Amino acid sequence: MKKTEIICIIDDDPIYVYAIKWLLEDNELCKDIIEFNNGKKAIEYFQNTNAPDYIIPDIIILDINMPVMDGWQFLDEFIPIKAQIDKEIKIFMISSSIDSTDIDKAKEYKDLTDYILKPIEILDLKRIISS
Amino acid sequence: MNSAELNAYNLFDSAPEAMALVGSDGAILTANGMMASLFGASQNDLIHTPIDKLIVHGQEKIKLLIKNNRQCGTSEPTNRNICEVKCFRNNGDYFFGQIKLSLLEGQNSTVVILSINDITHEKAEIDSLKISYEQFKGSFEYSPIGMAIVSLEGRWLKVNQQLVDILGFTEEELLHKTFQSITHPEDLDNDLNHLDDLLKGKIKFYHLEKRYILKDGSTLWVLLNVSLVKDSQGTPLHYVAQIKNVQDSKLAEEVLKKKNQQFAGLSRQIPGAIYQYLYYPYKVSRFLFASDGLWDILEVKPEEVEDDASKVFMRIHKEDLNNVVASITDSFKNLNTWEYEFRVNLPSKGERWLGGMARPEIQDDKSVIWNGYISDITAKKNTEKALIKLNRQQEAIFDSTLVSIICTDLKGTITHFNKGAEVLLGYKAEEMIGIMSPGIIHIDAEVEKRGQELSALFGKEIKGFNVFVELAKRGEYESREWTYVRKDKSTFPVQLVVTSIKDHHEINGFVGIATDITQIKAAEKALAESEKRWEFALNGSENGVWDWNIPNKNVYYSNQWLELLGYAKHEILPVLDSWLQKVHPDDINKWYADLDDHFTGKTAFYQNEHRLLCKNGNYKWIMARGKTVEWLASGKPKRIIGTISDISPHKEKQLEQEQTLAIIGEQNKRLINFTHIISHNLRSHSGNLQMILNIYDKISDVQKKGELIDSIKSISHSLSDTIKNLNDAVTIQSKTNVERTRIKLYDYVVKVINTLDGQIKSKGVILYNQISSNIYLEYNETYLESILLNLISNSIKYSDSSKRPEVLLEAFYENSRLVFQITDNGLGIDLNKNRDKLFGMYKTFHGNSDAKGIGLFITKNQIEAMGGKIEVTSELGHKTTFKVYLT
Repeated sequence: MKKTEIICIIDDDPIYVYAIKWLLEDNELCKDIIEFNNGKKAIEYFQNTNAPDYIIPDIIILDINMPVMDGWQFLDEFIPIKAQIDKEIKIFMISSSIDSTDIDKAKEYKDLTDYILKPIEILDLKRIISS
Repeated sequence: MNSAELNAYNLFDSAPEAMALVGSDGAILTANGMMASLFGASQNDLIHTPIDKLIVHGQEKIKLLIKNNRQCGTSEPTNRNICEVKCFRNNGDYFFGQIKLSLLEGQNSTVVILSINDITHEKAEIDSLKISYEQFKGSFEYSPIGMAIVSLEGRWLKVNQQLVDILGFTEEELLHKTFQSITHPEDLDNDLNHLDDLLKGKIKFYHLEKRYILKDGSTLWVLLNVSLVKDSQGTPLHYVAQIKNVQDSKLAEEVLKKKNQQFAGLSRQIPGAIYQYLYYPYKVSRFLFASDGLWDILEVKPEEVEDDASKVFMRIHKEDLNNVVASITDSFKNLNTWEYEFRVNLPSKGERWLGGMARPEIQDDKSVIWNGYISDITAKKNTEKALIKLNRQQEAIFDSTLVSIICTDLKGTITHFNKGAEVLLGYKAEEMIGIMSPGIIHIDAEVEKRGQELSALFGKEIKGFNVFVELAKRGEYESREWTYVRKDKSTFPVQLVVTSIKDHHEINGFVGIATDITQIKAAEKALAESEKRWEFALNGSENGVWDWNIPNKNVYYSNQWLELLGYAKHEILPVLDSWLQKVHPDDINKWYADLDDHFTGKTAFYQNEHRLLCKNGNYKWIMARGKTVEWLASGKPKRIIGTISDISPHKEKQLEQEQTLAIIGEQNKRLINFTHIISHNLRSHSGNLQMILNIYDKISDVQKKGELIDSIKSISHSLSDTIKNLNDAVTIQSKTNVERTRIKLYDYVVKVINTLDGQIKSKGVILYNQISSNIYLEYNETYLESILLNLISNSIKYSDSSKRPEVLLEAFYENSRLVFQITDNGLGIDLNKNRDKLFGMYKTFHGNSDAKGIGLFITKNQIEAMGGKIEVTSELGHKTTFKVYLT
């Protein structure tokens, strides 16, 4: 298992974020984790490339339902930014929504690697890392 | 031979001229090489040959020479010694030669030196020249036409007598003139152009018609023929002109041309075609002449049939062609006038009737020429046909056994009694003719009654026969019902028409035409009965009846129609507008559309549901049905009859059903949405719980386990909250009949403002309450308070601290629905992104920590549960307006 990946978590549910982080760290699945509790904060981070802590993640784990800026709005703003980044970034949409409109919408985004339903398990995380 | 002799001989033999020495006996003594070759023989062969064999009369000429020489004593060659002779070659050919004879007198003998030239060629030339000169001279002098030789400059060099006669100048005068000076100025250029072409060799000769100005100043038309004479080197020498007087023929031609123009002009005025047709059996059939009218009549141009008449025959109707040909053949054989009427098929006009007439004249070659006239008689034919038809119809009518026709003279004596009258009345014609009308076939009382009416009308006593003919005498036409009495005294109703019979505007009798209307009367009676039944049925059904005359827009409205809407008869004018003005504005387009569908034949019946304004100011739903019963000649509808019936109860039920269906549909949508919300919100908590429990199992550190228990407690709390919120929402949605009380809107708004007083003050919000204190509504108290609290607190919560926050509260009626509206100048919402989610559960847009994202979801549910709706408009960073339809 590579241990070089930087994972970015964008989710407003602190318990979920806590659990994910624990799983990633306990299984030593990544080198570093960046987290944001809504899409707007994440976008601001990616726009400020000169910040001292600026680092480009390999994988983004994205929630749909968030206050201020949700997962879809984040994607719409992030895709143009991503096009200018010379590094492959995989984006996983992770939601508890089984609404078919969300699932169908996810298929329209070519930049999405996959849509995964909550709750997430260690096997899901391993699959994401090795994809 | 001595050398001198030898020299002489050599000279002789090699001379370029054919020479021979001939003895006095006529035999050749010696001939040189040229001689031999000229005659086609060897020199040796020629020796001793008698000269006569070579030259016709050769010996005679030699004898003559010798004889003359002896007489005159001279040996010099004279003209006589040179002559032309005919010579024969060895092979029998002959040629013309010129011989010169000279005498050489010796002591012992006389020898003749003969030299000869072949002049066959020169002789032929001279002969022809001689002949042509003679001919020219002859033709010049004695020509029946004028001739002249003209210099290249145009001067007359030589003129003959005829020309002098033609031009009127003397020869002397002419030779001092040029042709240009006496040519008519209008013709000169043409003449000179031709001369130029002639000089340049473009043409060999030319002829043209031109005018000369004569000595007496008059003009003369001549035919001129000019050619150019050149010398042997081809240098032009002079012109030869032949001039013929064509004045008479030219004048005749002019006259003819004028006459032709007049004739063509004249023939154009004739509505037909004048023609000259030539027929020679099995050979020729053509129109020598046809006026331009031929095109109108046959759509053939005169020039198309000038050489071949077949184009005309192709136009003739197939069925008539054989007869037309037969009629022409007959006229040809018997030389009688051709007269025929026939049909033609024309490319543009189609079938027409033509009538033609022509007189034949037999020609010397047995061909026949007809001079004739042909015209379009279609109109006449049609009239004829119509007349024949009319005659037949009249005959049929008169003979009809169904119609009684009785004619009388002026006094009323019956003069004619037709078969129909016999059949209907039972009398025979011979019984009736001669007796007075009305007499036995009418009922006296009826005649008397009508007589009284007419007397009153015209102010004079009218009785007896005059009752029937008074109107006819006045030129009027009267048709009315009478009762006829049969011979067996039975009666029957008739419709009787009486008209006058006129001869040159003078009335000389009357005709009464009567038809038995027993059947019609019976039908009328039946109709009246059925109408009565129908009316009765309609009265019973409470349906209103209308009868609309479409062109004049008059409408009959039945009493039921008026009663249905509560109007009295005098309140509704019998016109279409009375109806149209009462149709609900929302229904009028469909009213017209359905009517149009019926009038254009899309529907067999007109059927339309619409609201009509009643006398009491309310609208009533009615169903109108109708059917066109009469049509105009143009195919447009003339009259439509129909009914209206009250369908308000039915319609209200239908509308209620539609509304219910809409509510159910909306609820269904909300249910699906709700299911998703539940699934999402509960799943996120249960998911978290599962994840934390998995971690809990994996770690052994007691302190960490404790931390996880805190997390689980937190999840448990959230889960309870969620379930409570969902429960609230479910409660609102599941309550179909929420308790309503009469509420004063203003009071509740004030109450909510007071509750929020602390927040309003802390944010510095200026609140404008413009709600009128006299608005009341039937509403659920809790819901109204909740709705107002949510919307007003939101407008305070999301105020923009960078400007002075203002909130405006309004209430008004829109389409009779009460609207509460709240407008703020706060942060605003990006509706492009958030419209779908604004009223969803757990949606917040500004990151406020106390925003639970449940308020608007609940508000919307409450509003909809009360039968209203909520709308939002917003500009990000400027303002937000929520519009709540309370009723």
